[in-house]
Amino acid sequence: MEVTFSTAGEVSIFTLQGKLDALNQKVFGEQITKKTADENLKTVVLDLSGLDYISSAGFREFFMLGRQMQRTGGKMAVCALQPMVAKVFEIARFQTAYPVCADQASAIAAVSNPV
Amino acid sequence: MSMEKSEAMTALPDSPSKRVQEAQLLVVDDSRTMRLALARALNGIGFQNITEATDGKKALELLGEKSFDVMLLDIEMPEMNGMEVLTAVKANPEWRDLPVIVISGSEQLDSAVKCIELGAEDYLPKPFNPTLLRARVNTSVEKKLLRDLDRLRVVQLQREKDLLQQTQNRLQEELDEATRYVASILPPPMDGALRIQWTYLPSTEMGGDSFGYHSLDENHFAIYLLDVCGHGIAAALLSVAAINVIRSGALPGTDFLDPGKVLAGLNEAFQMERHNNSYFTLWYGVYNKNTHELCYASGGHPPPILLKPAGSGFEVEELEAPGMIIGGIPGSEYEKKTTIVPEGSRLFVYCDGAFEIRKADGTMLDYDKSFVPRILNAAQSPKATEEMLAWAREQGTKPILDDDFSMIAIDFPKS
Repeated sequence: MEVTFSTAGEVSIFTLQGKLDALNQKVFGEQITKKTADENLKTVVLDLSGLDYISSAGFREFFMLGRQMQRTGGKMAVCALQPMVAKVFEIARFQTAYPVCADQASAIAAVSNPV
Repeated sequence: MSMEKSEAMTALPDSPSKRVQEAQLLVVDDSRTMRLALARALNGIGFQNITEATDGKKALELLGEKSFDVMLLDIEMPEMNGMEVLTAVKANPEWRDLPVIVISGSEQLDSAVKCIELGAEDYLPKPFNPTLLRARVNTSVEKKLLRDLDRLRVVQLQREKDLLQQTQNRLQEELDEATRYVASILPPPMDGALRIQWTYLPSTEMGGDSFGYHSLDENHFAIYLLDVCGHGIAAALLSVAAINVIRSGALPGTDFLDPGKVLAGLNEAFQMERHNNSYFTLWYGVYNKNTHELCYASGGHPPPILLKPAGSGFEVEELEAPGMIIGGIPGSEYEKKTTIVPEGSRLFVYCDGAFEIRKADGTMLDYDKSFVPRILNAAQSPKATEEMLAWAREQGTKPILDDDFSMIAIDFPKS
């Protein structure tokens, strides 16, 4: 899995490409969770348009990032989920905890919302 | 018998290494002059430990008393000649690896060759040339030292191998014991009012799936299947802990007849941070034998498939109940859903390892187009769960599944 980083104003955007499973879940931790902690990123969007598979081990990474951000008062959103990945997030009712948006623009808005 | 004194006395640039210098040399020659000359020459090139033997018999006695690294042996000796000594040395398994350099007169080349055929390492003509002596003795000593080292290494390696094997055996025994425990807490297949069959195959020795079913009271029957993220021993430990809580109803103040409350209670009890950042998905259902109602809740688990008799066949109802994975977010609420189970229905409860399979072309198996129809086909198979495992194995690129496989099939009786 590859991760690319970009910004839109204050918002940090991580774009994931490939598949996230037990074999490469460390990539998520090293390139996203750790960077978020080290640079104290407060608003993070995860663009999953390029993610075509996620396993339970991979899914766990999202929760760990989410909890870390909650502890530091940050906000996280995911966007552009492919159908199979969307189903996993839907079954787990991920959207009740973190915004699940259709595209980057709405995800950026969701984490930038002062509410 | 000439000797270039100057060459022998000077410190030579390619003196043997310290280890080689400490080598034990045995010089066997009946001529005192020869023995002295050899000893002096060998000393000159750095060898300290030189033992002399005046004849073959003495030489064999000395060999019996201590070990040597090289023997210089005069072929022409009265009584026991060099060849007889050589034969005796090579015949004895304890001395067989001792390098022997035979010393012969220039007219005795045939004898020298014969000795080499008998096992001598090399020969040195007399009068001997110190350079040749140095070269041949060094080579023989180094070779012997290397062979000794090699033998030591083999012994050491064998010892290490034995140790590793012991550890592996112990770990394997413990793993087998643990696997027996996990198998022992799975409920036996049922063939009474409810007929229940199941198939359970972890991807490694121990899996992160567990399941169970039991009567809550005379009217209510609970069915549950959970899947800890990942697999292996760590996942198995959590799955066992969680399934035991459900089996024994060990959640204070929780109504185990209410799936929503059960999941909420488990969610609080098993928050990720306190469990090695692991979560699990869970489906928990309660069947009322009187009303034929099945109420259920799910925490991120794939929906069980209820096959209900319809016309001459069956129709599919997916028992979806969206809910957060167990341990993900504290305070999560879980909606209880209800359905009526017609007589003659069959319910499949399973984990994602049953269908999340990567096919040869790299795409994932299609849940709706491949998995669900195959389940429908197994509506009346007596060995449905076994069949589904076999089918799952055929879908991927290898017969061993990447993830744990668990599946229960419950037949609701026709009255």
